[in-house]
Amino acid sequence: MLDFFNSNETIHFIITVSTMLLFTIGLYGVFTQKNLVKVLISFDIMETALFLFFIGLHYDFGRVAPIVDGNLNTFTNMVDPVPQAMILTTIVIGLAILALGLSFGIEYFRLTGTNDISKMNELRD
Amino acid sequence: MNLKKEFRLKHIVLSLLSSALMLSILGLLLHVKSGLHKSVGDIILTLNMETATANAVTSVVTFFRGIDTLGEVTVLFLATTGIALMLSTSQRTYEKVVHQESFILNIGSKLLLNVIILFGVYIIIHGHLSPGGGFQGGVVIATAFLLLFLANPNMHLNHFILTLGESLSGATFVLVGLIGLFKINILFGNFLPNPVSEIGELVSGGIIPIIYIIVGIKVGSEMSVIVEYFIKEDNKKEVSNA
Amino acid sequence: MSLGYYFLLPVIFSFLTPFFKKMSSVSLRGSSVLLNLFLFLQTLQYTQMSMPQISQFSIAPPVGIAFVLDNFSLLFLLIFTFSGFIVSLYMMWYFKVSDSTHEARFYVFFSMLIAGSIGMILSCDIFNVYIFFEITGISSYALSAYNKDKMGLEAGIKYLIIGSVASIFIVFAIMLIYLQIGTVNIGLIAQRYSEIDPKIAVLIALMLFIGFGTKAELFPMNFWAPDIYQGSSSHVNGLFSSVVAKAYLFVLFHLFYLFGLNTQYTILLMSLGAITFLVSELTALNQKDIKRLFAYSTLGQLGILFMALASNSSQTISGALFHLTSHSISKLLIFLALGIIIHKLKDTKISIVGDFKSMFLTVILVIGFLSVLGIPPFSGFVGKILILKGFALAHNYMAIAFILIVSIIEAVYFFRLIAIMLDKSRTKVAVSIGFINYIVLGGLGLLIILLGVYPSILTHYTDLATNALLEPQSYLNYALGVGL
Repeated sequence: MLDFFNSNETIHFIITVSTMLLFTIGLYGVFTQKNLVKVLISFDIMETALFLFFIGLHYDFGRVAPIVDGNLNTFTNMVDPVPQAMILTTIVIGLAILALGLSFGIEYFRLTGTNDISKMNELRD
Repeated sequence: MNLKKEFRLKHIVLSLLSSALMLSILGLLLHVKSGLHKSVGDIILTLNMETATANAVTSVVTFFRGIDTLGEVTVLFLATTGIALMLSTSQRTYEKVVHQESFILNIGSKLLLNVIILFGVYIIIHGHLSPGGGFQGGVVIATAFLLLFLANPNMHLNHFILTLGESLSGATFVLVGLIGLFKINILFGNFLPNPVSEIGELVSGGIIPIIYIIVGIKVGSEMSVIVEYFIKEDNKKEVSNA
Repeated sequence: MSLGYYFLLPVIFSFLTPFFKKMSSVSLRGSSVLLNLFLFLQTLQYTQMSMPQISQFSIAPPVGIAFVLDNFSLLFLLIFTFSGFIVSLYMMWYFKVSDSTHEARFYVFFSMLIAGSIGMILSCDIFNVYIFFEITGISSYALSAYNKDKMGLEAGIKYLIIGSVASIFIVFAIMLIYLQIGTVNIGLIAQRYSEIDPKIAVLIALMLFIGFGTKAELFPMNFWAPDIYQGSSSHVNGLFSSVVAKAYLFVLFHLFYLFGLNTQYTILLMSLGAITFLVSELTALNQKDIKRLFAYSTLGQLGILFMALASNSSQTISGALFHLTSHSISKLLIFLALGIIIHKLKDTKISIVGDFKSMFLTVILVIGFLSVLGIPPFSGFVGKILILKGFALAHNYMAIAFILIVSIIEAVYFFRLIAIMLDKSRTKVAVSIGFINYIVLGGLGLLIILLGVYPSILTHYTDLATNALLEPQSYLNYALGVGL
């Protein structure tokens, strides 16, 4: 029974289903929420779901982390290091955009007193 | 306080639509990982012994994909400049609000400050030997300053030193790349000696620990500046001109 | 000179701008002009060298990342560095602020916008293209909200939300590509693209299309563009329409042709381009704000470019590249001239084109309008004729009729603007123009006339670019690191 849970396909199935569920929640939040802070947090949820999906699918059962220490001497049977490097970069970029968006929200609130994106219709035909 | 949430038709329709979209994509994604091709990560792992770095992720981030790290550092710099553009106060009038500080919290946070910064510096310097590196260590250093701000919201950070650290470390990063161009004709090439026998030592890997130290200083100073701008917003009260 | 300088020099300049506030603002603007002039002259030198050129980072591709320049990206590099030089020269007059920190921040975002767009067109690694996409994106969000007034902040917030949606789609596509193929190098992906599961290939193509198409202002994802143009300053609008939109257009079509998608999705892209053109020109007819009007005009011209670039014939693509260059120069001219007028009159309704008194600006604006519309002897005419000739050679007469009919709609509002401008019965306000602006705007106007009268200067480069796009084997060889 435990061998069923220890196989690659089960782990990948669980990861795919759960992260796509998280992605759907984030997508729903982006389309329906009216407060700017909630929209930005929903973006964060979507991005986190994608990161978990990518890293999770690259885990193969039985491999180790790509670090050489006293016990390990060669770079064999290790998990792929390139996705981890890519996700590291993308996390920082997501953080930067979130911070910038929040600062826009703070300044807009100071000027108009509202954070409601459905009321932002100064610019229209 | 009324906690009932009203169910609008638009919300229900949108949630059904997004679920349908995701279910249709889910069917595809269950078979997405195929063993068709050898990925580039396997090639990098076999090449990694020559860079004499114990942590393969570090060598990918700083050496094999170094220009991505430069781009990411630039993105963080642009975000900090944007936040400074929005929240800087040289053009508006405000009245300072003085918060009450707590004595015990003040003393306790100053005791912990040195330990946290030391921990952050350890993570940065040992980035090529154990999990960690410039980004992680920089954020830990910014956490130390956040702790100081939480204890005493009226504190000021020295903007001159932070800006100096930010600009100079960024310029040094680009200079390391240009020195590689002049010495061995490859931009961001590894021009310092990196013998394989030194793998696992603190001084190994050529320019890889140097790049991570530069990134650590930059990320630390930038995150501290961002934290300060956001916390200082609480100290301002608009003066309305009657 | 290594290709990496196009990104590294502006990055050093941006990192060192906080130190400029100790000196005067003239030194900051002057060094920006010198930097952009240096990059433009280097690009002119590249036109004399043999293509393709490569400059690798850290280790040879396909394991590492490299910047590859071929004739197709050389044309766009010329447009971007030229626009950067012109706008930095224009900005020497524009600001008269006393706060040099605020001004220094403008130069950070401006340099990074140009550098990010150049990085997007040169890089041969799709994740690196995403990084430059984000650099350009953040610079444009900050430039939209630069004035910190209500409209600017609203534009910045909306642009940030739309841009984040686009970047999430692109990240998803890159992840799927890496899971299926195992690499992110464009050369290797182009080689192995036909071997991936066809359903996932459709999903990847759709995600890339939505991601880059949103920022390249293609229907139906371009509803955000007029709001953003209305909220930003006029010179920022000029940068958006001549540099940023063209960069995303480049990446979209470069991947489209390299991955071999041009055989399946031609009809879809051509019809979407046609719908973009029609809907934008119809909506432009009843606009009351002049910046929105020109935003819709930009969307319409981008629609023509989509139609022409998505067709597979070399004559149409060559004409489209000529029209792209001419449109960049003309829109830059219009937006920079409008910037002077809006700065003086402090209003943006359509009738301000009739409220200023300056013979020079009137002539310049008429040149710009007629060039975008496509009237001889200006360069827009040559561009449109070459596109129509290409469609005629491919026996696509429906496209010719469509473009001509919708151009009549375009002519309606342009001639209405010219009529307002030449109306002598309005009260006119004198506008002061700096000496540098005479040179900048006059130079752009003369360039438009020169390209219209002697188009062979540019058609040489657009033909080379079309060959490089349709026969990308030498580019792919360099991206795969063959022979390095």
